[in-house]
Amino acid sequence: MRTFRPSTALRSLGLIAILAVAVFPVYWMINTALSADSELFNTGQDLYPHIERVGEIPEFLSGIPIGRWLWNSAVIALGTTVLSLLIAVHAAYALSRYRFFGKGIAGVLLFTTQMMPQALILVPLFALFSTLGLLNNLGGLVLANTAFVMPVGVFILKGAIDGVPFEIEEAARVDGASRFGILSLVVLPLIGPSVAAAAVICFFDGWNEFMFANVFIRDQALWPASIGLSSFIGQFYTPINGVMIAALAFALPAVVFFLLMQRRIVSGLTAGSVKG
Amino acid sequence: MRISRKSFAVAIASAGALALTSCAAATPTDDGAPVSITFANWEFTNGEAGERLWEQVADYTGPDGNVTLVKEATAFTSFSDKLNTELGAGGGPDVFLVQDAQFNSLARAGLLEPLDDVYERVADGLNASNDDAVIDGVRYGLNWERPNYAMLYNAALLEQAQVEVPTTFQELLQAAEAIQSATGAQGFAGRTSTTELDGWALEMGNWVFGHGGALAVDGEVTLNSAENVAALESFAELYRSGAMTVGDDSSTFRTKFGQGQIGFMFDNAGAIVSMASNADPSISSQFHAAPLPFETPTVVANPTWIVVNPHGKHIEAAKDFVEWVVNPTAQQRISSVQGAIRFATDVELTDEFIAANPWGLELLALSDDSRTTVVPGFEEDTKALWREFLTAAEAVLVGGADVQDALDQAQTIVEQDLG
Amino acid sequence: MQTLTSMTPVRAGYTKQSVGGRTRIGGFTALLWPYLLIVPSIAYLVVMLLIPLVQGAALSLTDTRLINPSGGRFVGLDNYTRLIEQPLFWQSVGTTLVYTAFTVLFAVGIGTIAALLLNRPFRGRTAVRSMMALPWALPTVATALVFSWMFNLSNGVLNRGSQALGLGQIGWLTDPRWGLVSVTMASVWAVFPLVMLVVLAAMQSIPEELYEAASLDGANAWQSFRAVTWPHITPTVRVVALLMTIWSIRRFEIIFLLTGGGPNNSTTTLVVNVYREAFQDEQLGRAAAIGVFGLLLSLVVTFVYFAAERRRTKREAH
Repeated sequence: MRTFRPSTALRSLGLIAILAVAVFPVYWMINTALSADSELFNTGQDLYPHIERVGEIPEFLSGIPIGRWLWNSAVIALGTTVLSLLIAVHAAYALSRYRFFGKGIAGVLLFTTQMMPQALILVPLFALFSTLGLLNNLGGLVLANTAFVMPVGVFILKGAIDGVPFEIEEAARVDGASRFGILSLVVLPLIGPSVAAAAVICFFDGWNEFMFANVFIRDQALWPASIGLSSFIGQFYTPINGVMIAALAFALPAVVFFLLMQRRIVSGLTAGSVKG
Repeated sequence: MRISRKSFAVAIASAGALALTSCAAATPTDDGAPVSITFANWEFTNGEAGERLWEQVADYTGPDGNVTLVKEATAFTSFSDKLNTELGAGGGPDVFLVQDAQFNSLARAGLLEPLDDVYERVADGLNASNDDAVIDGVRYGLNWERPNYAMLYNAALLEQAQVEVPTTFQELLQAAEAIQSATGAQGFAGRTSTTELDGWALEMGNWVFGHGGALAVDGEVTLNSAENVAALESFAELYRSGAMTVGDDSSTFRTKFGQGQIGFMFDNAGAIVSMASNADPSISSQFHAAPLPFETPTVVANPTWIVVNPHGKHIEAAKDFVEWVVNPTAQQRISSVQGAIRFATDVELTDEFIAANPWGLELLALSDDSRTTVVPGFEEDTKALWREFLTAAEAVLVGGADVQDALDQAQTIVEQDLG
Repeated sequence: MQTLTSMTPVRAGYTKQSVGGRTRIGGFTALLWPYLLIVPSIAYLVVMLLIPLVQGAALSLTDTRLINPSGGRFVGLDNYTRLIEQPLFWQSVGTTLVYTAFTVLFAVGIGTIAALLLNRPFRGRTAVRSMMALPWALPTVATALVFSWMFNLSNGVLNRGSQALGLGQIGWLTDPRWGLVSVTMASVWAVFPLVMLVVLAAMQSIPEELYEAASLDGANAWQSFRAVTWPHITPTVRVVALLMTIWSIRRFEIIFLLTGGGPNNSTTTLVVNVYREAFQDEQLGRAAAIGVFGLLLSLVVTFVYFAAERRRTKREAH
């Protein structure tokens, strides 16, 4: 083990600095959520949150259909994740392991679609969905989100599959495994951390998405959290403290999801690959 | 494979029959079949007030009792984008509200159903607030509400600083500075950033009209006219005096007004309703409205029109609903939630409302001499024109540019863009 | 015991199987297999994005307005020539490049450093890592709201701090000199945890034996980083940097919610410009033209990346 004192101190300092920057705005959200209007705009917001007002939060939340909003967001996010990963892992494998006609074009296509601004796609996609009857339902949003985030998954997974030595697959082939079996039972577990990372990216993309949800959804009952939160921005006046409470509620499930996935991300390569 | 003549004829006939029956089904309400029409309004998302507003209209069942009203609530910030997208794709709600600029674009694009027949039936009860809905001789909407602007002030602060209600710009400047030094509260509040483009255009309109200016006159764009320059110079003078809020967004300074921290602002009836309802009664009882301290008394109005979608499936039912909205009972119910705003018909304010909100009558009194910020002759380019004007304003305020230069530049850009 | 050579990652572009050539797995299925794998993703993108893109490109040759999408007249390259003559357009190109460069630089830099700091186990590491992911977990609207509030000129915490330090107030969102800075700050904050995550995953796949071997050879922390860590994570860092670049070019919500493209157009990037033309000016044709320009920009970035990749793998294959 290295015993460089300065290095350890530097390391701790670096961690604290980055952690402070990452956490402060969230801390400020909590502080603002618990402040009264008079403090925010008149006497000056206190640096420490008024914990005693926490009891008011459930009351505030019960006045808005936050449970339903979070549920809708979860459906969209999970749907996007599953669909995107399913498609992406196959494309990533093909791009990593094979040379075939059109491979270059496929790669370029995956890339350039990432560049397209949503504003440009919005109107034609709306017309298309309208014809297909995909408007005003969460499945339509899953389809729209997947189009944008699946190429990201492809790139992450391709990079990961590139890092898996081909000898492992050869060994499995010699052992008589089917092509599909190799993909799912040999390669996939080895890139577990990257799949987890891609899953988190897809989930957050679906969780955060606003523009499509805004235009495609008509029923208030189908509002995801992103739309619900924006509805607080009133025509005349935005109740900053209330908005912060809602925003924290929306962030919570995403954070929980990340906590669940992060153990997988750090599990690293498991045992049982090429011997000898 | 050859299709026999007979089966071909049968095919045509059945296709024809199918078409006829579907046409029949499209005739609304006559056969008493249940019909549902969607009504889109952003105000339904205004928290508790939004809920109460919905309740006022939710029990509508139509003249034959077979109509259900379906609420479509979209947040204000995304309302117009969503509407444009839906209408552009041939869909959209059956009945909806639009603010004036969007109303003009939609009407000229043929995306609104003419409502002349509805108007004929109810013309007696309606007031002049409905007149601006006539475009090229066709009436496309009725007035849902027409909030106008006024100079709002906090009487307590004025008293503390010992100033009278200003009637000229110089008096306003002095009063704002006096309030600032005597009480520590800010003298004047207003938007100063193109981040809030739409709202700032409405506020700035008061300055422009008040100085006798306009963005276009007789079919020519006049961004850099002498009156407009004077208007912007007055605004800049107030901005630089230090007595005006700088950099606060409208939500911030409205909340501050509700906290008794602002002396004057140019704002509208809708805003003051939400400020008053969120404020301490001891503070909100001090809110008053007065005419703008400018030579020309015209104030800005921001009408919201109720319109019908010509691509909807139940146009007659939609029209019936619009007709119902302007009958006295419905008008009374709507105004009970919306407050002191000019509606399609003349609605009396209740005594208790007047007592609790002294600004109510004062505000309404200004409504008759009000105009919208839509630019005559360039209606569809209204937003773009105001954006160039306000970008010039920003250059003056934040960049220290000369007013005439900035407006000249804006004029050039606009002429290029429109040419 | 695995030898070092068997753990050498296969470099990008280095394939082991060529279709149609002599392979151990024979026959028709070998030919078809890559296509089967890739068809779902490509078909998906063609329908959902490519077709609307072609429609958009066609739109850019007309003067269509937003609310009348089928009513445009063909105007040829008018929209493009108008754009080239418009100073605001070139300003938005410049703003996009500056914004992208700085956002990517800081996000990748801070994210990689964070991953490095988290690579060694210590007590409470899981908690720290979770907290560092918070910025990314926060919905964009929430991020925009809290940063607007923190950037608020008179009541925001940043200015209260700077006033306390005697530095006066900064117009974070109102001063044209600071607009882009503020927007970049918020974007970096929101995005660096993703870099940290991805790079950390790459670091976790470096076998411990390599570090042991290096320390046995007498390497200190910096040297083992250069010799062991850095070579292993470079491919990942490159990919994530590219991803960040593409995303920055496309990022819309946080910029628009914070500044609307102002003050004085100082934060109007290409995508903000597209939105303004489409939804404020209602000029779908012109918006599409800007979108096509932006697409060409991304194509340039893509080709540069691929060319560099190919050159690198050629170099390493020797």
